[in-house]
Amino acid sequence: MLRLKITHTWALLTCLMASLTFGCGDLLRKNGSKTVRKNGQNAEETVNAEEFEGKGQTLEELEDDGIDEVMNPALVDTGVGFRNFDQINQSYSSLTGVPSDNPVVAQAFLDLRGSLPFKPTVATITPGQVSAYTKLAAFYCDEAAKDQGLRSAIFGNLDFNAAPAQAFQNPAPVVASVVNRFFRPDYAGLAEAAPDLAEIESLVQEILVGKTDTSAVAMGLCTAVLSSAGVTLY
Amino acid sequence: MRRLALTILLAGMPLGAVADEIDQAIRMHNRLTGTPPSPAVLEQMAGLISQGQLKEAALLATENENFLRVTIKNMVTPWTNEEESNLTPLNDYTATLIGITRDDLSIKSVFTDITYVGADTLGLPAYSNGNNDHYEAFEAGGFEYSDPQSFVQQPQTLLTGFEVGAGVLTSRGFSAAYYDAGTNRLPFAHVAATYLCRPIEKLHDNTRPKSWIRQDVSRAPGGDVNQYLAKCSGCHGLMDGLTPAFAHNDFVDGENIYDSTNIPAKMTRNADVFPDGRRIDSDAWVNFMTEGPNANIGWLNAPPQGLYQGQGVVEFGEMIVATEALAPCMAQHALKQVCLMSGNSEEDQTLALELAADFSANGYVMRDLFATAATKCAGE
Repeated sequence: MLRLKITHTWALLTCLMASLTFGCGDLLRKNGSKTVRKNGQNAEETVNAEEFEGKGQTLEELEDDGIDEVMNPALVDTGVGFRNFDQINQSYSSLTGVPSDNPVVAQAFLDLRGSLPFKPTVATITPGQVSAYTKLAAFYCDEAAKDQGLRSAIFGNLDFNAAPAQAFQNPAPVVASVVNRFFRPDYAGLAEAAPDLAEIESLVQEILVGKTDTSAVAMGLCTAVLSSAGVTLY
Repeated sequence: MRRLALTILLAGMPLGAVADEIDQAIRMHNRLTGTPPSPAVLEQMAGLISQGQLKEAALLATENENFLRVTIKNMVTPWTNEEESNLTPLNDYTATLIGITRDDLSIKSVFTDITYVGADTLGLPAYSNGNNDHYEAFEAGGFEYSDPQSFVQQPQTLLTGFEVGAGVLTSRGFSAAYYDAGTNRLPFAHVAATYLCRPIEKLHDNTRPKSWIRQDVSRAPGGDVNQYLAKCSGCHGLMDGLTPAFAHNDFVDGENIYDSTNIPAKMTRNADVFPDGRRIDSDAWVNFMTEGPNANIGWLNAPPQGLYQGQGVVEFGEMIVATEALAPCMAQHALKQVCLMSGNSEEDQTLALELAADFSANGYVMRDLFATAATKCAGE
């Protein structure tokens, strides 16, 4: 019996879209192995190819479709899925506190709706859909930043009036505030979170280069975390 | 380009960790509403879970508007169009299922004289058999399905003016998708696939009577009578017995029609293909599936002996909801929606039967079914 090692290709957009006044866009990928949680339980890092092929599309067909270059098909039917257009829109609203009928995000959602996933199937995710997640996240983060209360709820005590280098001199508190808001309330305190926190702090350092506006860096951080797999996968 | 090595997170769960009550609460809320819980609801749900009350925690999540707006709507919307898209606007078919779920009515009321509309006070365009404006305006207005002052139940016949009200089966949303053109066989195929989880091709049984097969079906397609006997008759024999139930339904130029005094020409079209075939002259129907492999659908209203016959779309609906297949089928839908299970594996089907037993014992209430389903994939 053929057994395939699960690997995944993953995409995260770390900066803001060029259409906004700050940041930049970049599609980033990571290859590596992962543990799949099926029905809440950790599963082996392998998948039975015959079982997979029973789900309606063979590995060969997916490869023909170029799907393997986007997302490893072994993640099909693992009990996790991508939020669809409605789910991600309402999730972003819930997490940022920006009402989904806010005119700016409502228009952005209308514009992006057809580009967002409409099925949860992991194997059929496309780069365009990941990009749409990120664009919509950027609009929500931008709108949230306009509201003092929401800004504080997401970014904690970050001093938006300070120069970026000073505001992010110690990025740990703001990173903790963002992940606790978007992932789970005590996320930054979990031992397992340390590698993620380190990566996000590293990302902040990279976004800081050449920036003169603290808001732009904060929006990059917000968008990157909000459109990451911790939110888009459910 | 810098490569960011963020660890993949699954619904906020750190990899390798045992799911605690917070993980479980987040997972269940995500699955039931499509959205993460607010901190206050998360705390309440986690508290219930820590006391072993997973079902109660799940039920708490279903109080979120997005349980109706996102989860139920996204499940039902593909049922309301042939393309099975969940991108189409709200309509009375979808609204009826959302309302039945909100009000904890039995799913068996889906084919009765009810529908759900926006309240008069909202200033929406009136319900119409001729357009979907009312529902599109309700959706565009962002009104809440969970608000009984905004989203209200009405007798369907009061809105449509039809002589009969068969709920979804006489809704405009259903009509636009399944009564438009064709020969009104499609409605049966949709109902069998959606409410019995029996796609038409799976019903195929050429051992049953063929006496009700219509005139428009060739008895020797391509000159091959064996083709008819082996293939065509296996579905048409069953389907053509039941589709006269829709003899008075039609959808023409955007108008949902039910006219008990008329049988649309489409029901008797192409009569010259086989003139000795059955010609529909009333909405009387017969169910030949009480014997043979499809008897396992469990036709609870079938007479103990003789033909299972009925008349019209209302009795057809009553027949469908009085089946043993209804509950496991709804359970499959719930598991697919909440637990992202394909339903194909033996494990999935066993779980569906387990859920179905609870579902039927608890009054066929969709909210309860979905909450129970969520506990099955909340993590441990």
